[in-house]
Order: sequence, then C-alpha cells, then structure tokens
Amino acid sequence: MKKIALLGCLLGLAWGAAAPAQDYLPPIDDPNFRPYPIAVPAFKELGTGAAALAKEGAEILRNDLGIAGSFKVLDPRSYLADPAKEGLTGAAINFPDWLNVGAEGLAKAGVAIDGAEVILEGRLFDVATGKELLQLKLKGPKDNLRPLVHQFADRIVKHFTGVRSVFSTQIAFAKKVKGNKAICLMDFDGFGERCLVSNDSINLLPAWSPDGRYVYFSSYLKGGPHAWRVELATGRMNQVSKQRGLNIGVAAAPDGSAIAMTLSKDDNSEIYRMAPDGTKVARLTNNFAIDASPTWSPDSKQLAFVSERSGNPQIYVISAAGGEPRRLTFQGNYNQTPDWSPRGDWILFNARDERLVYDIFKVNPDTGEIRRLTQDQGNNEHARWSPDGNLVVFNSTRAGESKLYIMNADGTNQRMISKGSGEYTNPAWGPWAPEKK
Amino acid sequence: MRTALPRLAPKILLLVAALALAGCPKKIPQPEIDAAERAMADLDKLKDCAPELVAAARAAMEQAEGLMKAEKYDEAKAAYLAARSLADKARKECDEKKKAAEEAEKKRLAELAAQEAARAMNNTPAEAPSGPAALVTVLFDFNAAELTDKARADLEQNAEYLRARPALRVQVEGHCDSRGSTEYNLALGERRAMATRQFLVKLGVDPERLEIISFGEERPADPDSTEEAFGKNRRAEFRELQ
Repeated sequence: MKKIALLGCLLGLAWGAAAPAQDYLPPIDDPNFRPYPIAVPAFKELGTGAAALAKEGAEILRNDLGIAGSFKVLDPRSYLADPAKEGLTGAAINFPDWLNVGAEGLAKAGVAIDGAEVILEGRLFDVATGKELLQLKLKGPKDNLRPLVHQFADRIVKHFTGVRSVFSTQIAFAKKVKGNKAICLMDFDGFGERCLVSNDSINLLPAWSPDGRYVYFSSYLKGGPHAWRVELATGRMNQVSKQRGLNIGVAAAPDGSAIAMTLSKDDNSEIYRMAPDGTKVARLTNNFAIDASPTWSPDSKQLAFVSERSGNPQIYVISAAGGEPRRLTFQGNYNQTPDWSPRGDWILFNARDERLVYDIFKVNPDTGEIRRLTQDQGNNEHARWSPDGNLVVFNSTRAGESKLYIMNADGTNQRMISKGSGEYTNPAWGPWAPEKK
Repeated sequence: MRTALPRLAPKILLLVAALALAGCPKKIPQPEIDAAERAMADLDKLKDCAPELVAAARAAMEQAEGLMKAEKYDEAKAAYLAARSLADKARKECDEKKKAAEEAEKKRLAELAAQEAARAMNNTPAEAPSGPAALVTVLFDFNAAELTDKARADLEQNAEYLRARPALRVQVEGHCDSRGSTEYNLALGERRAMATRQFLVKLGVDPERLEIISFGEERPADPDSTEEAFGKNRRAEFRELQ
C-alpha cells in the first residue's frame, strides 16, 4: 500500500512538469534518457600509408563516444557492411545493413596522408533516413591524429546534445616518483601523460585557474608546504602563499576573481580567500576545529568545505564573504573533499562508511539529499567534476595501487584512464580551452 | 496512443491526487530523527569515557529505526527522543571526566615544572648527557591529535633528552595514516605536531627549540595498508636540526 501511495506522489510530480522541446538527446540524469545507439566502423584508408592510422582513429572515436555517456557504441564485430569496401558518402552506403545491427547513427571517416600532414574526413548519418547530419574535413601533423578525432567526436556530441564535450580537456594529478610526488597532466582519456613539476620534493593537490593558464599546487620545495602555481605555456613557477604552517588545497573561483585555500598561520587550519596571486588575504572561518578543502559554487558566491567542528569531519557551506557556515551533511562520521558541480546541483564528497571503506557520494547543496556513486571496489577518493558536470574523475585502489578513473555523474560507466605504473592521486579536471571560431 | 491521452488524463489525475492525499507519509517525526542523528554523530568518540550511556543510546536508536520500518511513527518518535537524551548525557559525562583529568594533569605538570625550575636554580652542573639515548616517536589514535597516556610518557622521556642537551633544536613532524583525504591529513598531522610541541613546552622545553611541520600521509613509516602499518604511521617524529 505504501509503495502505491509513493508512486502516486511521484506520478503527480511528473505530470506537473512541462515536457521539454525534444531537439537534443535528454541529459544522462533525465528519466527519459536512453543511450543513443551509434555504429563507428573502422576508418577508411584513402590513398596509401594510412592503414594503421585508420584503425587507431576508429578506436579513439569509439572510446570518446563511450566515455561521453550519451551513446551506446555498437560492437564493431556485429557490423554487416565491410568498412574497407563501403564508401563514405550517403549514396555509397547501404543503410539497411546498419539498421539491421540496431544503429540509429553512423559515424564514418576516411584518413589520408598528405606529405607531413594527416587529413581526416568525417561524416555523420541518420541511419533511418540516410540523411547526412554532419560533414567535416580536418588537417594536422601526421604523427598526431588523436586531436583531430577528438574534434570529430566533439562535433558529434554537440550535434546530439547541444553542449560541448570534454574531449579536448586535460586532467592534472599528483604522481609518486621515487618517494616524492610530481604534478603531471594527461588528456581526458589518459593518453599523452607528461609532468609539469618534477623536483626532489613532494608536490600535491593540483588545481586549475579557470582560464586554464595556471595549475596551482602545494609543495615542500621550500618547506611549508607552500602554495605555488605553474604557468602551463612557459613552465614558470612562483610561490603564491608562503605563510607559516600549511598553505594547501587551492581552489580558484570560477569567475577568476579570487582563490581560496587552507592556511594554519593563525595556529589552526582555517579557510582564507585571497586574490589569484596570493595577495589581499581574508580569513573566512573562525573555529577551533580543522577547516579545510574549500570548493567554490559556480557563481563564486559560496564555498563548501570540510570542518570537524561537530566532532568529526562534515561538509559545510559558507558565503564567500565569510559569516556563519551552514552544515550540509549529517549522515556518516567522516565526510571530506567536497567539489561543487559547475552546474551547481550537486557537491561531490568522500565518505568513510560503516565498514571503514572510502567511497564517493554527492549531496544536493539545497536539500541535503545524498546519492552514492561508488561501492564495493576498493577505496575511492578525491572526486572532481568535468567542466560540463557530466563526468567525474577520482582515484581508486580497486586494482591495488591508486589509479585514476572516470565515471558518469550518476556513478555508471566507471573506467580506468591512467595508463602508467606508479601511484596516481589528487586528480583535477581542467577547463575547456577557449572555443575556436 | 497520443489521441487517447486527453480523454484519460483527467481520470488519471484524479486518481493520482486521491492516492497522493491518502497515502503520502505524513507522520514521520523528522525533527526528532534529525536531532537524534546530530546527537549521535560523534558517539564514537564517547564510547571510551561513557560506554554504558553510548550503548544505551545506540540501542534506542536501533529500536527507533526498527519502529520506523514498521511505520510506528509515534513510538519511533519517543525512541528517537530517548536516543538523543542518552547521547547528550554521554557527552556530558565525558566532558566532566575530561575536565577532571585535565585538572589533575595541570597539577602534575605544575609540579614537574616547579622541580625543573628548582633544578635550574640549584644550577645543577651540565654533566655528560645521561638518561634517554634518543628522541622517541609518539603514536596517535585514528583521527585524533590528543596525546594518549603512552604518548605522554614517551614525551616525558623526550623532554628529559632535550633538557640534557640545551643547545639542541628539533623539528617535530606530524604524520597520518593513508586513509582519509590529502588535505585533511595535512591539517591533522599539523595538529599532532602542535599537540606534541605544546606538551613538551609544558614540561619546560623552550618553544624556540621546537619547529613543527606536517607531512600528512606523504611520508609513511610503513607503506603497507594494514592496521598495523596504519598504527605506526599515525605519529609525531623528531628530527634533530643542525
């Protein structure tokens, strides 16, 4: 009886909501969401010398669309058409072959080598009507097909969802190197790993400036630990905050006006707000307990942070101007590492559950509603949103040593992205590069 | 399908409204649940000083949750109120015990400091350093920066070591086990270092001789992920400077 009554409540709610215009696929967390089935056959080698690239290209595209979460990439082994024989244009494609493997969309591409350059010709079709939805031609250096395929994937996602994908973004992280830690970068899919800051010291907790120009981090290079930042274009490093004690866990305001971090210069860990270069320091919290891990709301007007003022660590929210904080989490007794979604609707955090295992959860900043995202797979910590708020990157010990993983915002589609050996921690998802005109 | 909807919709709406009115749960004692959960939040920390009250509070909470499942909301409300009251009592008992212990400790330290002062007045000749041969590492409980009895005893030894070497300066390093967040552990490690320094100062060591730094979970004494290793990693370590 109770179940029926509850269903009645839910139905009543759904009935009241207006149906949105259906030009785009519904978002992943929409009740009407269903992954869009798309076929991505091997790319066609145009001319000679591009066979390996053609094979690699299709794999990159399938991986991108799989990570995007909105698509179901159909298993290439099931395809009826021979990709080497079938053409790239609508007239040369036998659409019933694609309809019969369950595809609604078909992404095709050809790859050609032209001197030192590689050319990618991509097309997107609606299988039911045979209509060409998208056509593009991209050029780049021969040894670097990857960014071209990411661009093609980006256009496909934008066509179906109306929003920018994260395929051209990067993730910063801390990596253990010979007992110390380096600050490194990887593409969103884990490829192209390289280190920005590697010295004989411990470097931790990378965080991006909203324009993607700097990565902030905390380092023991000159004691401290102090807060530093490195300019990506030049590799130039400078100290942002070198107060006595801790200078850790920088978070940059999305509007670029300020940064926040934890300082212990006044003999206790408190949250401070300052200008992006570390000047104009203002204290926000004032409590005998540990206060740490600030994260900004998307409008830069509030911060969520961790405090153990209730006796154990919990998530609180405070105005960026300071004042009395509001407690947000009441369940569990060990909640840490908040990260406020760029959409504003959820705050990721970490909790230790009753079995003393660490998992990732999210809490609604207005209602306090909590949802669990990981379970029964090692310790999962330090979750950070992608710039579109669709995906989450985190570190997990599910395969032994700590590695980086991504998942959809609802906890589905979890996959390891870090490729190397060694311990990966503290991921931070970078912003979009300015959009090309 | 689409044409059938407008005719059916009013009926469905009526049905939905009726069900919603009749069946939406109303009597859940939410304020009492919230208050009880808040009161219970830090119960783990109280279980050593008020074990009976903590156990009783937990039992009441369990009972309340059982009653909620059975939808006996009025009875559950009473049980939640009981749980909250028991938890509050446990907290009070612990506060009182803690206060008494602090008083006793203060008295003991004052006596120690007086002895130290008397020794300095008598200008005891600086003999070849005797007593403890090295500074010992002190250990902490999970998520705690409070000194245990063992840690206090170890620090009394360390204070003796430092008194025998008045020119020596040391760095007190606070460390944590690998569980929990990087940032929180850096803060917790610093608290451990601070608590350690503070106690040494109370024992008469000049604060100028004691620098502190936190390494959080970055420099484990034992890199394993076992309870035994975690226990070794929650520590304050001493490094002699110069």
